[in-house]
Amino acid sequence: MKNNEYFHLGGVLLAITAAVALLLGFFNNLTADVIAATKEENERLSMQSVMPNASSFETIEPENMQQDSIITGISEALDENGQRVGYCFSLSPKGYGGEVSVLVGVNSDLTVNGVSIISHSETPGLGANAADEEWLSQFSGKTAGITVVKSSAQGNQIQAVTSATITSTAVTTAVNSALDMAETLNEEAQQQ
Amino acid sequence: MSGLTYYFSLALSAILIENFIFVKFLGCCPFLGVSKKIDTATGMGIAVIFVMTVASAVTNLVNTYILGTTYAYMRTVVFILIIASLVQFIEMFLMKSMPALYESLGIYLPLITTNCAVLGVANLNVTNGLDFIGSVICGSSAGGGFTLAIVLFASVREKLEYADYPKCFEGFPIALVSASLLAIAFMGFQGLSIF
Amino acid sequence: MSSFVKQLKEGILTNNPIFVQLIGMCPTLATSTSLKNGIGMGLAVTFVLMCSNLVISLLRKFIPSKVRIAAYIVIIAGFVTIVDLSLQAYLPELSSSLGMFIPLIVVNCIILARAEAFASKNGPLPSLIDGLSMGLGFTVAISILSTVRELLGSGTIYGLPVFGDGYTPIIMLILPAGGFLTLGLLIALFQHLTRNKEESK
Repeated sequence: MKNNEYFHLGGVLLAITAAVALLLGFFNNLTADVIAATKEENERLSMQSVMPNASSFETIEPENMQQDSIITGISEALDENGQRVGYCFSLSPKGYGGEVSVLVGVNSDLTVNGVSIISHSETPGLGANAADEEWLSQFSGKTAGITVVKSSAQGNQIQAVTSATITSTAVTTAVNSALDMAETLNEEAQQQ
Repeated sequence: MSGLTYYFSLALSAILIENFIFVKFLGCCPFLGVSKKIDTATGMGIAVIFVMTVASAVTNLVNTYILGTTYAYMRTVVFILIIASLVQFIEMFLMKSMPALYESLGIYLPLITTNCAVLGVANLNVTNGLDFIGSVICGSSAGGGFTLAIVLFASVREKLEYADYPKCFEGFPIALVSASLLAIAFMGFQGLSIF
Repeated sequence: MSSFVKQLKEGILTNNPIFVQLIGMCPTLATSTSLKNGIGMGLAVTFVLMCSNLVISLLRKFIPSKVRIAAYIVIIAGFVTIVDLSLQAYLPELSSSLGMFIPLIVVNCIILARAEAFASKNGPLPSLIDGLSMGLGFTVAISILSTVRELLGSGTIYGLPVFGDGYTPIIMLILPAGGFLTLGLLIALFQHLTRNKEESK
């Protein structure tokens, strides 16, 4: 009699779990493509925002990437004719409250085109202000070796976000690494 | 960063910098519910460390070898089932083999299934792409952070008994206000990064 | 009809999950930094609560009481995954700002508590209404909390600036510490108001 009860309990649980799994499998089929498409579209839009002159992007994986680099992804930015106009780098330098996910667009002449912050967990009202477009626009046109200063930036300098030097330095480090990597990629392309 | 320092910074971050209660808001229900006395808070904390460590290990293995990316959509269902059955299993195991420990922890165990810190740490291990050892370290130290928070909070609440405050703050409100002050203290750890 | 109104009043006022029953604190504190997130979370919970209450009430005679908690959890987790996938597909922005707290709806005490205390003992229609009213109670509470935090903490409501440039936001309120503080003050206010009412009766 007792065995019967166990079978009954197990059977009911199994039936419910199977029904849920079946339903989810069906629902996953419905949404999987939409989720993938939305994700791709978002990535393309954010890359477009740092490289407005490009029309398509192609992911590349250079062989000599360092293991512990803060660069997490590189794409070639191509114009309408398929000519390369620059590179798009995603990087995650360490900020004040954890990793900051930064996207940097670099032109072929090794100047910064645009910088955008995809996600971060910096202190709201302080470090989080670094995500403001106004602050990020300082980077446009800068070349490798950017330094951070607290006030009145000149030349290749960036003025730090008020009371958020760590965050500002993190973003600047990311932009500098992107510029260095772009130079390496350019040299490789010329050698070939 | 070499292996050992990496794991150390992982543990430090889970205990202090990203404390589950004060920074991530995970596990607030038991934090507010079972923190009236230091003894019960300690008991709950130890039970949570135990369950979170085991749950992190098991969910990591299941996710790596069974779910993968193909069945990622089943993650929530599978993880919560694993946690629920683990808690049940630990309860039976303790009852049979370590009755003394069961006496002191037993009543907290069923509550842990619905402690979102456990499911939270299992999910976080996956989203942060931690390996097996990393998951176990993260699970145990997140449990440690929970225990630290709940014991600190319980000692504050025991003192609150003698405090004088407006009548409408009786019970939960005054507890929440004290939790807020503790959370400010924990904000001081945010900038802590030794590596 | 009158029982519908009574249930609704119970969920939103007299037995409000957050202000009176004091359950479901984690998502309340974590996602109330802006009104948009608060409403999103509230509606997601309401949807899951209605569906799980309905299904559990329909299956209440089939589920043996010994394994009921496990069965409830699986059903709830199923609906949570559906919400998670739909948000990822159709509202990616909301999905990324609520982040890890969507899957954690599974362990929101409100849902399991309603399944255990109400849906397992009542018919499908009252259970559905119970889910709706408790869910709305949760949504109302989290909306009030997030309005206060967003208004004072960043000077906006639903992302729109309210105070103009002269206002310096109290940043602390959108930090974790501010979540505890604001909720504590709100519950104190709620207790103060309900107590006055009782005394005047």
